[in-house]
Amino acid sequence: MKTISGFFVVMLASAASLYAQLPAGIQFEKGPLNAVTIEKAGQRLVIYGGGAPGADQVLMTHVRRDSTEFARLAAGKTGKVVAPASVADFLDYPSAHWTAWWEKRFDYYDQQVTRLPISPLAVAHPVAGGDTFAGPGGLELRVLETPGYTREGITYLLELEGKKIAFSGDLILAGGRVPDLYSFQDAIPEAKIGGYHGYGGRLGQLVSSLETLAAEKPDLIVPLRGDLITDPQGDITELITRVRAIYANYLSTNALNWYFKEERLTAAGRLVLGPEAEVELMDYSEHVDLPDWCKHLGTTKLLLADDGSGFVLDCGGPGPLADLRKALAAGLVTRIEGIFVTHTHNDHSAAVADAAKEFNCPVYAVAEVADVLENPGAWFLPGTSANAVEKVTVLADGEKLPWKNYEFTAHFFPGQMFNHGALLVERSDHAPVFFIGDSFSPSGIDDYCLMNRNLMREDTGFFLCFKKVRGLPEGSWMVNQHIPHLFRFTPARLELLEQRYRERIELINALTLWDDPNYAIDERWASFYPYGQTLAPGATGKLELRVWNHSVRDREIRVKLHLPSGVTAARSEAVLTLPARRHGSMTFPLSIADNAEPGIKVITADIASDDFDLKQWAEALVKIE
Amino acid sequence: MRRFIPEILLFFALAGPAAAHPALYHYLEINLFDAGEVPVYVTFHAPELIEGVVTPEDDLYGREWLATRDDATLAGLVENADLFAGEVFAFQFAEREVAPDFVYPDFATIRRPPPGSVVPDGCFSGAAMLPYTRGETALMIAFSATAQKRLMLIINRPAAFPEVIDLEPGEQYVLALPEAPLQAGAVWGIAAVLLSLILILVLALIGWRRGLFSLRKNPTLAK
Repeated sequence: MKTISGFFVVMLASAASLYAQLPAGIQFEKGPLNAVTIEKAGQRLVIYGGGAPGADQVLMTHVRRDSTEFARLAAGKTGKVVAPASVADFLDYPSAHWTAWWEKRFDYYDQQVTRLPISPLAVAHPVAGGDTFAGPGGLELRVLETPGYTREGITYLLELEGKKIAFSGDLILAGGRVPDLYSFQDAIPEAKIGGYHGYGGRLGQLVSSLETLAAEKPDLIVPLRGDLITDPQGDITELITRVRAIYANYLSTNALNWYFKEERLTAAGRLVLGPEAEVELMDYSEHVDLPDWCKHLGTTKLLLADDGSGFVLDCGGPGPLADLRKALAAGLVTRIEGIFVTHTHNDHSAAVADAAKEFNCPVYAVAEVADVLENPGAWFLPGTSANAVEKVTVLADGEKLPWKNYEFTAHFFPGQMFNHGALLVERSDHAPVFFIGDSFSPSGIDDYCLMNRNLMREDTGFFLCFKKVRGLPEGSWMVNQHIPHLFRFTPARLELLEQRYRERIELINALTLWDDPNYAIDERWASFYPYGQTLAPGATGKLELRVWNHSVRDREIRVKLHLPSGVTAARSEAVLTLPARRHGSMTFPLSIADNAEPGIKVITADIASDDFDLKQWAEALVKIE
Repeated sequence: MRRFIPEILLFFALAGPAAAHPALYHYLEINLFDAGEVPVYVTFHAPELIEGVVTPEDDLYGREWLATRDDATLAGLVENADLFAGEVFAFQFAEREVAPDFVYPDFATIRRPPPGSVVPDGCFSGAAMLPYTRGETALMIAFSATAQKRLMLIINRPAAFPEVIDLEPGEQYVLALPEAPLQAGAVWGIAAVLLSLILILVLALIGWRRGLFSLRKNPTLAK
């Protein structure tokens, strides 16, 4: 049983002895974010933040909203900020990002953490790996390029009183851990894998950065969060071992092996596991051609009834829509009578609204999908199409929908993403076929994008999918919307997938300090609804903070809003008590001032509980017209 | 070739092939609408054409990436696309190998596909026409083992749902072709033969009639 106290707030009894290892000239104050101050020749160097405003020099290792605000406080109006050169422009003018983000959040497949600063912060001294520069009182600091947890991450090396100390931000936490896993999602150019498919995409960079840091042989590492690292070599080795185990496990059950094959996945694997590593991939399960009554049109599947009419699963863009039009025009199908949407990614949903209007047919989905289709701007999820569907008929989990010579059964199926459904299709002349969207391929699990919210809980996520697949009528097949085959797992294959998945939960649990690994993989465990809304000056609206208590104990969640100018809330603080493994919400009525400036405003919220205090964690956008 | 250019231009202007998810599959689309010629369309996922290692900061997979490339970059991408198509796809009519001469949209179209285009973000298309002659009844499409991801081969035929074939790198597919019409040269050849035959027949008929006429004038010869 690990403890998460000390990760964010609580001081440990042993802390005093740990801090004693710091040179006397360094003041270290542990908190939600660690504060480091070095006073020399009447000048004050601050690393990360802390202390009274007006430090002479403030060092930032990377840019997240909380760490930037921490540095800003320390710098005050006069302090000179040192930060990675790669983010200096961003810090100079973050409103450009947020203004563009209003549109860019749709159809988004870059999958980078959005907890970025809102207000500008002038960088006096941009630095990059290899730079050395003078701190107050003649201190010499050296910069290492250490990407991993963030793209821009750097480490400052300082020798003081005979000790070499590394300030590495969120690169590594004490005990060989990191704050979360989803922050590593990124493109893997060496393997030609984009950000959306890049699970742990920067774990390779993390390993390289850790090896670079280890080669410097620091005596101490002072991270941004949690305890001092007094055994740098031991903790670095531990962290490398952990991420390698997670990545090897991930690859071994990966659906992408169907598409990308061994060469690319081996290239991705070796970036993390080592240049000579053997990468284990799962071979393909039994697969056969689609039956004649099921047509594959891009990511759309068209089911044909005996009377010539059609029922559509997904309509992801102009291509499939054009194919459906052509089929109607050629008399291959007499009419389209309904559309079931498996999940909310735009390659499955972008043309649903157009198709429903054109074919004058109903749209069906499970509840978790329906609201995203109807109110896409209220959600921030990968690949959400802005093309809202006017009306979606919600099908309950397990609800049957007879259609012509078919019987359909809708399922909530939180596989590839949480907002995902599936449709069991039965007809008398064929084995049942389970249309599972994008949740599995013949080579395994579609879990390459953590921002899809693949919750690793026995009551939902892929475990629920495994359970539903096991419960299918004997002889059933599955279909992935991208793949023109029926396929199925043997009981042994299902067992293996489930066993590997359970092993990965334990590995991720050991990687971070949260009391449940789902906080480490679920970026949206505390998030605003609606994510984006448009309000006019003088108008009122509301904002809901939705919180998932992934812990297996009750939690009291305290929330404090940070409101931009022109926006007020009837209350800006609230407390929510959530039973173990339940989710809930709290609502904040909003008012827009009559004289509010038009533009994109960002509302953020601090989220705290008894063992964490996360500053400006969640965000919502308000467009004032 | 005269019919080919307008067809390709129209194709680029109006639509382009419907690659559903270019990150997961390569896409090769074939239209079998006119016997005697096989138009083939390849969808290129531009981020995969870049040489060397690029940084994720370039936002390669964003929708605006292609739109903001300069002419030199696009020229390089098109050149790499052409090399890629040549390396990854091989086409053969019976014993006759063919090397398609792909044509590409202009840079403005690559940057901003026209409204109604079904080319996905980050992609552009190349098109080539493969003419075949009577007697060539099949096209073999070979997909290189070095392709690094699967191929979705889509065959469009009149009044039929697209036929979709999912190929692994290293696999090949033999596509049965509708019988090609006779080529213009062949038609002229047959016409010439027919004309010759008619001429011979006419001459023979004339000769026969003359012979008959002389027999009538000199009946003793008839014995």
